[in-house]
Amino acid sequence: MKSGLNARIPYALLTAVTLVLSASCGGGQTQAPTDSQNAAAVVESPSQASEQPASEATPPEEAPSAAVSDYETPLVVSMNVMNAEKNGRHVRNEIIAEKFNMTFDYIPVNWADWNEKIRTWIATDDAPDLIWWDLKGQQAQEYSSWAEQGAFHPFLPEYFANRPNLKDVYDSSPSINALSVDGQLYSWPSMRDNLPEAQSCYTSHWSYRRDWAKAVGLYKEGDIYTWDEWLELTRAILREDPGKNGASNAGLVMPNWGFPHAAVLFPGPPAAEGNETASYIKDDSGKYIWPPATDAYKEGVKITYDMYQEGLIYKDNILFQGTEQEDMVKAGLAFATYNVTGSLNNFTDTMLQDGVITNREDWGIAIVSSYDGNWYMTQTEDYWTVTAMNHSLDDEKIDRILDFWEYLMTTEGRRMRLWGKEGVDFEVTGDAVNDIKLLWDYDDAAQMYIDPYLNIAEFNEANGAENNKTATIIAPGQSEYQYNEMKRLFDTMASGQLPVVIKKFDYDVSFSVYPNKGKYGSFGSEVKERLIALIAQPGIDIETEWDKFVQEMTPRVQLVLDELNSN
Amino acid sequence: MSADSVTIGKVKKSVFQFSRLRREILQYKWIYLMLLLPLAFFVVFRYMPLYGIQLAFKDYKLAGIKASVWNNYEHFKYMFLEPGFLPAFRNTLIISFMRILIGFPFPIILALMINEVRMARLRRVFQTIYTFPHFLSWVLLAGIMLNLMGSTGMMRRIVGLFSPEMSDNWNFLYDGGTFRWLLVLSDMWKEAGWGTIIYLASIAGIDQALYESTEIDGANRLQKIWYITLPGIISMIAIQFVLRVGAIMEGGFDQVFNLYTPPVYAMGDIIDTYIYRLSFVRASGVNLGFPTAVGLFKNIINFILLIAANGVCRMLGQKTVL
Repeated sequence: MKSGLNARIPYALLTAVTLVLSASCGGGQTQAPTDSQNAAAVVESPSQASEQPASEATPPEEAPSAAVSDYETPLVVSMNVMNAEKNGRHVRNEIIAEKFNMTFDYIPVNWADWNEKIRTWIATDDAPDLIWWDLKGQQAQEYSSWAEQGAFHPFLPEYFANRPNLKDVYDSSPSINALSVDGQLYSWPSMRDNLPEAQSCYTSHWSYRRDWAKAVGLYKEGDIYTWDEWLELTRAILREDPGKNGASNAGLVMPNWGFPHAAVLFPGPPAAEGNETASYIKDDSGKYIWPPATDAYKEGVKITYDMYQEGLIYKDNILFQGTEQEDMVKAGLAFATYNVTGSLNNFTDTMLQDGVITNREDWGIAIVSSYDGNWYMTQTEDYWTVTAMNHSLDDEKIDRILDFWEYLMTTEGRRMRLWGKEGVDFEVTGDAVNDIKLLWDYDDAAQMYIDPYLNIAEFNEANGAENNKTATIIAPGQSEYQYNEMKRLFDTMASGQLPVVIKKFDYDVSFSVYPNKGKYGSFGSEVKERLIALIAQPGIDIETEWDKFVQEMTPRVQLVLDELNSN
Repeated sequence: MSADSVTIGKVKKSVFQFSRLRREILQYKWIYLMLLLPLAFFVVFRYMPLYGIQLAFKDYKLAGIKASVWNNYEHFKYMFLEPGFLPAFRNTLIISFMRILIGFPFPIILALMINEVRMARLRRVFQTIYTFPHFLSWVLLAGIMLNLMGSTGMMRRIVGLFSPEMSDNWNFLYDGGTFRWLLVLSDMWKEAGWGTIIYLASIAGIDQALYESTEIDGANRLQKIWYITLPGIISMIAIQFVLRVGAIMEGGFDQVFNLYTPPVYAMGDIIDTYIYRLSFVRASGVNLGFPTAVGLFKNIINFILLIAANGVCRMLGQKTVL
């Protein structure tokens, strides 16, 4: 027995060595999902998918270019998404398997590692089939370089000939041109579903505890505040603590991406391109300048410093690395947060369910004019994110993916995106997208339907599922509250009630590609880091310190400015 | 002796050595076979990647290392021209030296103390308590520290009871002056228990007869530690010291990354975190050659220091790693 065991030891060892070697060396050059990707992703087997009957047909006027029966080969499409696990559990996967004989291999990313993963995947030729990317103009150099080196498969014009919904985006989006490299489009923009009157302005604003403002007696009807009123209100909240939070009572909190610029600089007069922390803008003479070097920017820095030192901006916001700001608001510990208005329902739903607020209206959008009396809106790209195709995709896969994308913008596809599966999640009652009866559970206390699939919006957006004609709708099951709040915001903007100043987005400078601009970018991260470092130091002369910083940066900034101004 | 006979002698010697090695391998074949697994690991994960070092001298292209072009040391020039690099380099050295000066002796002292606990069960309890933090990730610990020491944390409230002024100016986690100490002390707290294991194992190997004979000579416990225990583990201390010095350019990325914020960059930004931000946070993106160049630079310094520390230990008559 013992000798038999001994005899098996070498074989076992050899097998182990072989496994280690093959696991380490194998598959390096293929585009198939890696082991690590598979481990983290939720995968449905293709065989499982192929067993599903491909019976449903789409209405002829909105049908994908290929018929369902054409999809004979089962396909697996890998793609990075947020909430990979939730996406994997979504009923949508069944429908996609039935209709397109296709399954998704979801690879998780989050806000913190998203760009990092994209860069690593591209550099190692290990990217998923569909590369969903938070691509901003500042990364144009990197994007162009990758496109030129063949990392992506181009979106050829002929792909859109029989796909009217995709063609609509292709023909009408200004960013299509900006995203093209040498005349070829390499990534597909996911259009912002903003109301047209938003003029592609960021929909990020202060959302606040209206009930607390009322409790301290400083609530303004219509939620319109001057700068001084806003500061006074925040002071009153910290002083009177209407939420009875004691030492944990917080004033203004911001998400990582907006800290600390969202307090003053984004919604204030300092010039900046879009919501970016730096970038380059044209001055009155038409020359490009670097906004942090302007007096207006310095003034904004000083006001931010004073607000932080006074405690109006929550001090530990500096330490936030994830969703702490959101968590604090949802736990009823913070008065106001700068955030995208599109997430208003997410806040109110949770707070209602947890009993943090008793009415949805207790949490709303504040319209805050800046310290010079103007109300500033910052314009951005007309898309939120982009999706690129891996260079290794074959025609069959591309066709199938684009058919799916086209389908997502049809009535049937939009219903699937919004609610799930017909007969399970909703019943159709008419022709319009909204003509449905929702079958989800209803929470009487929170007065809302319980979405069994949780937030899936990103998947739709990552699959190009928006165009200008499928913009925001109030869908059954969604609270109208968010839509109404956003509408109130943009109606105020359009009404001329307040002096609105739009900080225009400049595609030319944002997507321009030059050596030094590519090397240094807009110095946005340096500006952000230094600003945070300075506001945390009590008792300094912030203006002198800012001047020193600008002086320190000037030699490198000037290289980029010279480049921009000479071109 | 002619040159020919020397050569023949060398050949004979090497043939003899080879046949002896073959005999040994055959005799201990199962043990040598077991060696294959770690050997394969080192070949695949330690030696094969060395091929990529050339990227430090190239501009990386997606087509691969071969297709990437030589760039005349551009990454190294860029490294020293970047204004943040030298401060990060200085911080790495300072933090590492602080860890060695303060953190290195601590597990030794702790091991000696644990060894002096007479009740075996109690000793095991202490060991478990001290070792446990090693298994917590820095992500988790950073969250705990934020909750304990943040502006709404328990520590501030306790301090506020005694010194309202200190509580009013509370910025413990983002004060550059305290950050390095925070790194060193929290690292000691987390890793000291784990570090004791190797010393306790060495102590266990000391001949008990030595203790008995000193007891007969009337030595007290402190004298036993000084004259028996410490000399008994001095070789292990020397080896650990050499290894620690050889990793001086590793400032502890996980810890710093999870604990630092912009206000402490000036004092706490180490090369690894700086390069991470430069490579992955900046919108201008990453050229894989640059981090490779920095990695090579770090490892050359580590290698030199390892050799130097090893030499010093050898001069002092201690066992060494090389």
